[in-house]
This record gives sequence, C-alpha cells and structure tokens, in this order.
Amino acid sequence: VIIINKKELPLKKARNYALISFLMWEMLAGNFSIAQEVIFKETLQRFELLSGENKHYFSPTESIKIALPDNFDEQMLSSIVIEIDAVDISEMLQFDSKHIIYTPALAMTADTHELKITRYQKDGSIKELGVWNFNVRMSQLVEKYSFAADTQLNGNYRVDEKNTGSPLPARLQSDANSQIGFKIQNGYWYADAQFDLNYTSDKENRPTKRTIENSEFLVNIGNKYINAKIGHQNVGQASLIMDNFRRRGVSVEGKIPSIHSQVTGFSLSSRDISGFGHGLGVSDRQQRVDGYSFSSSPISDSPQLLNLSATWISGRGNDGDNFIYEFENVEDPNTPITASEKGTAWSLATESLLFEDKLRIHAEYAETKFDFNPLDNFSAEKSHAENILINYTTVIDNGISWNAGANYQRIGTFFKSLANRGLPNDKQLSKLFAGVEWQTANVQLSSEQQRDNLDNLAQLPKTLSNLDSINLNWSPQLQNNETWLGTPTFSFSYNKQRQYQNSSPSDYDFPATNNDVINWQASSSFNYQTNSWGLTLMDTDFTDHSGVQNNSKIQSVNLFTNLIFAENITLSPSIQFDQTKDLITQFTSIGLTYSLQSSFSFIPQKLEGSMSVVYNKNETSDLLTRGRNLAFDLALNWRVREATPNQLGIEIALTGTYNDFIDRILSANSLETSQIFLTATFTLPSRIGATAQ
Amino acid sequence: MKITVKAILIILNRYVFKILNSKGQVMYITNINFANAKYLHRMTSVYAALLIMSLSIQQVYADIIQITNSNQPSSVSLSANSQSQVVWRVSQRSVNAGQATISSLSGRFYALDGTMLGQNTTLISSSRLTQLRNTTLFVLNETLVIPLSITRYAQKIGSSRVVYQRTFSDSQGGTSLTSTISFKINNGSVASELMIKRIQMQFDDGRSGGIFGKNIEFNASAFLSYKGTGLLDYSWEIASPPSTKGKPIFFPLVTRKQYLFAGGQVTLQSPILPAKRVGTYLVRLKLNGGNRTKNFPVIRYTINDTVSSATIQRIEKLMPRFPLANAQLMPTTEFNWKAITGAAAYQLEIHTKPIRDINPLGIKQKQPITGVLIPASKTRLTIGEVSRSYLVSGTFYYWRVIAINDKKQIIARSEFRRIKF
Repeated sequence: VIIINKKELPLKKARNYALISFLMWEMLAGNFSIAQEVIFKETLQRFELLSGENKHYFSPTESIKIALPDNFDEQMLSSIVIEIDAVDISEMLQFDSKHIIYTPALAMTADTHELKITRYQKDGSIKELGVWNFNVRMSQLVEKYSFAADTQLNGNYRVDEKNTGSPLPARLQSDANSQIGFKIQNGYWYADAQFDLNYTSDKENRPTKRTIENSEFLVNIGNKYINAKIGHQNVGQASLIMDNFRRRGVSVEGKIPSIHSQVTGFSLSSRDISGFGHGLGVSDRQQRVDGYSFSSSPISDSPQLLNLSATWISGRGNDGDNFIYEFENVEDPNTPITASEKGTAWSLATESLLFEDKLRIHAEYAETKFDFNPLDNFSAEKSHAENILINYTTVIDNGISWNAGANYQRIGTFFKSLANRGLPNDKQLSKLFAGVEWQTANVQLSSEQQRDNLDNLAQLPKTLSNLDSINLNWSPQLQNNETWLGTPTFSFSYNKQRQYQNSSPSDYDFPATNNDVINWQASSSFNYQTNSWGLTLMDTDFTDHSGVQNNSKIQSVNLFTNLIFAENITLSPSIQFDQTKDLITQFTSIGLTYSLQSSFSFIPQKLEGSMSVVYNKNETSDLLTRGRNLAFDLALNWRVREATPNQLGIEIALTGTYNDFIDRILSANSLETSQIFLTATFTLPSRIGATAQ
Repeated sequence: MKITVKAILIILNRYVFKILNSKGQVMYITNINFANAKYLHRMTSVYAALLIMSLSIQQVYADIIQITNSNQPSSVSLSANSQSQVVWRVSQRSVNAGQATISSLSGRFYALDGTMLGQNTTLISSSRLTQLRNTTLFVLNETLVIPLSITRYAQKIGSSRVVYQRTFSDSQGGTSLTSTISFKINNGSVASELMIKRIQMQFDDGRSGGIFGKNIEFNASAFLSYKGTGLLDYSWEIASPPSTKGKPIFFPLVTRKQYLFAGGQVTLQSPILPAKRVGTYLVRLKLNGGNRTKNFPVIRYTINDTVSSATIQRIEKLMPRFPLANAQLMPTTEFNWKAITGAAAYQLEIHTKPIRDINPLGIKQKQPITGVLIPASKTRLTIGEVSRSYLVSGTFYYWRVIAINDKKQIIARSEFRRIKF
C-alpha cells in the first residue's frame, strides 16, 4: 500500500504502477523532497491516534493516546512537535514505551479538533509526521449542549439627592437583567439562540413602554447544507448596496461546501427596531427589505483565486429612529410615512488573491432604482456605482517590504440603496497609494482626487477635491527596555486637502467652494511592564476662501497615563487641551478636560471600589462661553457571597454621583446635582451542560 | 383694471418687484434671490408671464395690500427632501373692524418656465383683530417640505429653481392675493460647507444594545455620513450608574475637534466604555456648536457580573513581563510572566486581533492562530519554529497568557499585548 496525502492507493490498480515507477525513479535520482512524502507501510512505521473510551469521539477531559511507531527512537522525541489546534502541547506529554499520552490541561470544547505531529528538520523545513481530526462530544446522544442564564436583580434605595429635578423617581426601585442562551449540536445539526431581557421598575428609565423588554435576539438553526437565522443579523458580504445593515428579520442560507458556495434568501426590517415590538421584523410590508445573496469560490483547491458574489434587494421603508438619526429625513406631512421610500438594487462583485496572495483585485458593479415617494407620479431614480481596487503587497525580504495600489470608485448621483443608506452618492474617487516597511519603521503615502456632479447636471456646480497624505510609524527595538523609554512607538501623519469649484451653473448665486485644510498629528506611547503613558499633538489649519466658513486653526494636546500600584490600585489620568482660533473674528475658544479613572481593592475580591473624576472647562475670548463642569462618582462594593454556577451571589454597594456645572456668563444655568444610592445585587448564573473555556 | 410696474428696487443683492395699482397701492411683491444683477436678463419671459398671469386675477380693490416673504434656507437639495422655514407677511387694510383671518388653502410648485410641478395641500392661516382703515400685519409661518421628486422634476426640465406659490384670501373682504418664493437647486451644501446627514450608532460587536460582561473592553462606534468639509466638534457622553438608577446625568468621556475631509463617510470610535460597575449605561454622540438641537440617538448597555464568564470562576489578572507592547517577535524572544498561585499550566496564545472573553455558550469562541502550552513549573518560554510557521512576516499579532488550574479551568488571564512578527 502506498499512502499519499493520507489516502491509501491500492497497488493493483494499473495506473499506480506507473506512479510507483516514477516515485522510485525520483528517489534514485536523489529527489528526496518528493520521496519523503511517501511512506511505505510495510517498511516504515507511522504514528497512530488510538480510539478513546468511545469509538468515534473523545470526552472533553479524556486523555489522548498516540501509538509510537515500532523501533521508535526516544531520542527523536526532542525533535518532534505535537500540536492540538495549532497550540504546541509538547511539554505537557507523558510517554511510555509505546505511547505518547496527552491529558488535556484545559477541557476541550465539543467540536472537531486537529492533532498534528511534525518534525523540524535541520535544513529548516517542517515535516508532517501525522495529522488526525477527532471529535469531542459531551455525550453519545448529543455532541454538545449548553444552557446559560445570567440573571441579576438590583434593589436600589436612593439615600440622598440634590437638585435632580422633579418628578423624582420612587426612592426604592428595582431593576433586573438576564442574558439567556442555549446551544445544542449533534452531527451536522446545530441550534443556538441568545437573547437579553431587561426590567426596570422606574417607567422613565425604560427604553420602551414595556415593563420587561428585550433589545436584540438571534436564533440560529442549521446543518452542513442549510442554515436559518431569526433575529438581528447581517446578511452576506459587505457590498455597495448592503453594508452596516444589521436588522431584525429572517434568512435561510443554503451551502454547497464542495465549491465553497452559498445562497441566502432574506427578509429584514428596514427599520432599526429593538425590543419585543414588531415581532420577527418582517410582518410590515411597508418597512421590509427582501433579497438574495450569492457567494461562490468555484476553484475548490484555491478558493482565494476567485470569489464571486451577487446581491439583489427590493423593499420599502426607512431607517427608523432607534439608534440612527437621519438629518435629511424630512417627512412630507402630505405623504403617508408608511410608503415614503421604495427601492430595488443589485450588485455583482469579484475578489481575487493572485501570485501567492500578493496581488489583490476587487471589482464591483451595482445598480439601484430608488423611488423617494411612491405615491407621487414621478418615476424612480436609477443610478449605478462601481468600485475597483488593485493592491500588490510583497512579503518581507531582508527586512523590507512594499505595497502599492490604486482604487477607483464611482457612486452615481442618485445611487441609493435601502440597505446602505450611509453610502455617500454623487462621488468619484481616484486614488493611488504606496508604502514601504523597513525593519521597525513604515511609511505610507496616498494621493486621491474626488469629484462630484457625475451626471453633469447643468443646475449643479462641479467640485474637485485633492487629498494627499503621508503616515509614518516607528517602533524602535531598544537593547534595554528598562529605561524611561520602555518600548516606545512613534507615529506622524500629514494630510493636505485642496477643494475648489471648477465649474458653476450660469445663475449660481452661492459662493463657490474654495478651501484648504492642512492637518498634522504626532503621537508617541511608551510601554513598560505594567504602566504606560503617551502624548498626542495635533494641529489643523482651515482656510475657506469662499467666506462661508470662518478660517480657523485648531491645536490640541492629549496626555494619558495608565498606572498600576501594588496590583490593587489602578490610576488612569489624562489631560486633553484644545484651542480653536477663529482667524476672522480673532476669537479663541479653549477646552480643557482632566479625567481620572481609578479602581482599588481593600480586600481582594471582597471589598473593592472604583472612582472617576472628570473636570471640564470651556471658555471663549468673546465671553459667550465660560463655564466648568466637575463630574465625580464613587462606588464601594462589598461582596457578601460570590456567585458560582447555579448558586446565588450577593453584593452590597454604596454608590454616589456628583455633578457641578458652573456657568460664569449666565449663572442661572449653573447647577449642582448629586445622588447617593445603596444597592443590593443578587446574581444567579445558571449553567447546564458544556461551559466553554 | 390698470396695473403698472412701478419700480424695481435693488436691495442687498436682491431684486424686489413691487407692482402697484392705479391708486398707488402695492398689489404684488415678489423677490428673486439672484446674487448678481447680470443674471436679470436671463429671467425667462415665461417666468415673467407667469407672474403677470398670477397678477391678472387680482382685483384692484383689495383688502390684502402687500405680501412679503422670506425663506431659510433658500436652496433645495437634489439628493433628499428639503425643508425650509417660509415666512409670509401679509399686510391687510381693513374695511371692517373686527376679527379677520388670512388663509391659504394650498401651495403650488412651479418650474421657472411655468410648468406646474406639484401641489402642497397644507392649509395655513392667521387670525387677528383689525381696526377700521388701519393696516394690519399677519405673519404666517410655514414649515415647507420640498419633496425630492419635485426638485428632480424641475431639474429634469431645465429649471434651476423651484418656485413656490401661495394665494392668500381675506375673510373680511373676500379678496385674495398671490405671492411666490423661489428655491435654488443645489447639491445640498453651499461652498462645501460641512453638513451632517446621518448618524448610525452601534457597539463594536455590531449590536445596538444589550448585556455585556463585567470588565469587558468594548467601544461604541458612530458611522457618520456628511457632505462638504469642515470642523466637527463632538463629545462622547455617557450616563453611568448610579445616575441611571435615578435621573441620568450625561458627562463627556472625551471631547474632540476633528476636521472632516472630503469623502462623505467617517467612523468615530468612542474610548473604551466603562464596564466595572453593574447596571445600565447610556451612550450618545453629541455634536457641539452650530444649531444642533436634534435629539441624538442614545444606545444603552447593561453590565452583568457573570455574563461572558464560562466558569463563573473569578478570573485573576495575570501580569505579563516581557516582551513589552509592540516588540518585534524574534526567534530568541522570550515570553515571561508572573506566576499565579494554583496554576497547573500556562498557555501562551497568539491571536490576529484581541478577542473578547467568550460568552458562556462558546458561540463566539475564536481559537488562537498558534500557541504553546507548558506546565506551571515554568513561567517563560520561546516559541518554536513550528509555531512561528503559522505567522506571516511583517504582521502585527496580539498575545496573552492564560493560567489553568488542575480542575482544567482558567483561573487567570493577561491583557493582550501587540507584537510584530
């Protein structure tokens, strides 16, 4: 029997005689790099993974036994490396005359794991002596199962308060939260779910009108070929028509593993809904986006060589106002909101990594058809967008590597997708970039040009923006890291933008765009064994020749430190200074913020505390603003009983917050507030089944 | 009835057409926001005809003697619906003392060539007590939405403006008068002045709210879409417990001033959010300066003592010694750390990026790219060639050490440190 690539080839097959002849010839010719891949079972021995207590799987803490080859020289042990999931476990092994035994130091997760034995050879190559994939299951019936519910109940008593307004919440309140989830897996099938629950007795502090509310949830069911998701999710790869679109809904994904392909059908809410309201998010047809996405890497041996993806969406609705705010979302009082916008879109993209992954080519084309008001008689707007990126990056050779690339992007004037509303339209970008990395330093340069009014509309001006930037980073490796420099890192960036209007409509009565921005930033950080500090300086000059925005200059300094004392006190002070000078009015605005975060432990894990102080001062030379704000809060926590799985934990806390705002211009705005609470926290972490590490 | 165009007055770059009747009373007034006089001759004859037509229906004998108007802003965007505050000032000479109402049933949108683009059916009205033969000023404020479809229609037929017309009638005399105001079509930003269009908030795991474990490091992100270039002055603000148990008090985590370059999109990331105290936190991005009266979105999170802890076992902080942050990973680089009482083994892990402590279900578990497991009798190691073979030269990685007890549980864990291979 010949074993090649872990597959046994029967000798009787005639075609293998030719192969054997070829291999033998290669061996005789001294080409051992090929011959080494061949192991003759009868003449050479090999390692063998032995079955565990159960024939087809191991339990999470079960020892793993590997049979040694006959006549195995124990001196070879020092030259072999044994890994589980790429973690070298060689120093944790036990040996007897015929076996290597590994007793997991950390309980293995119920999953498929890879055990690999390799030998590092004198010529620098790594020879693989054996690779096995094995399953870890929690039981014969179910491969893996777990349930967790982390429930926390807080009883809060407001001991004292000052100037907190009225009506005040009840002096005694309670709130609770729980994160609940389960996971079950057997064979190819799996199901998991997770959702949060929140309760607050105070109506004012509830996110919605419900007493008990959920924010997000996700249920996931599937196997090797199909996967269904219900809840908040992102679908498919990011594209020009679908990006940052995490919405509640339903999706079903079909997979073809042999060609790395998947097709997904989905139906998601267009709005950023949260809570129990709106159910699965798909019942409202006026606020729903339906679509399909497809992705395939048809070259199965080298999937990175070509990836194709396509997305099509269609739907109605708008963003919502939960965690999104649209400044342009001006609703026409004469138009029902439920039919405010409607659109379809599709995109086609390819991604290739060529020449040993050094050359990356990404190309995408997309079209949208968007109706801003389906109720009027006007037709939907059609537009298209393209994006092409080419990037070549070399590997480090003699401490030097370089990269270079180009990006062209065109987003049409009326390009708008329901699932990527944040994408700016009417923009063409042409960009060149290159960089060099040498030892511990690297420099990156880029130059880009942007233009608008891509449809050459006679009523609109045309604006050109040129942006050049340079970024430098240096992390010197010092012989001695125990000096005041520790391990230092320095970086510097310079950006320059020139923006001007190169064409105006005939009756354009607004000032023409004409501005310059120059910005530089220098920063450094110094890291020690436990402490660190850093400094950042920034300077920006803005000149608007059009006179619409005032010319200005901003300078800022940021100094930060992280300190640990005796392992039980941490201090993180920082200072932020900003000065903005209006070069037209000559008025200056100064902002100064001191902040100090600290945590301390009187009796470790029993009596601990934390504190934060933020002092903020703002003033302008025109005397329109002159004030300062001091915010201080403190917490002392006494852990009466530590929570353990399925056992209640109790903690008592005394917490206080103080805020003092002084307005030196309008003293009526000044306000000093404070609140002190005594809180009892009950924590119950429930666990059933596996607990992954 | 006889109508004479009395005068064209130039006041502050603005042409004001006053049309007087034979008695010298102002019959009609409109303004055109042309910045430069040289454009006057370009006003189409059709537009002039439109004005004359609208006037021809007026009666010489009119209780409404004059209408002036203003609009802010005076432009409409070709990329979204636009909103403008329009003020109509209607002067009425009363023929009967008493209560009078000036009203307009609807408004109409026109292109400069007179093509009707659409209609706004919103009624506006104002009532006042009037005195006999005195002139009374009625001010009617209108929040006008100019739908994008109207603007686009005007642009398509070659009009550089959208003209809005209203006819006002007087309840006392039954007379009516028409007034128009125009909006220049632009791309939503004058002279590339910075205009924020959209803010989307989320935490860095993509959620926009939820329960997080104690002491977990995470940030909030705001995806901003904007037009133009200019200074963005903003603060990340947070309301922490205990204030969220009563009256939430926001205070700034950090205040920044940042010039936004051309590009239209930027992601602002908050500092690491506080997670040491259990309870509810509220986070928002506040834009300072300018006329920022909007209620910015607030995202909330709750810190739970035991969420994300698989074993509930208290995880100690392991103190790594070397290499320091941002060091270069050489074949001789030695990793060492301070011993942990009760440890049976240590595992050095190298990740492509820092990972969070996993949740109890292991749903988001990410394996290290490589690592080394050693007995607790050692607190230092160098990684071998086989482990190094998983790393790509010139790439930054993040390493940490975990301590494991003899019950096969993690009892201590270090912070991540960056290292370059």
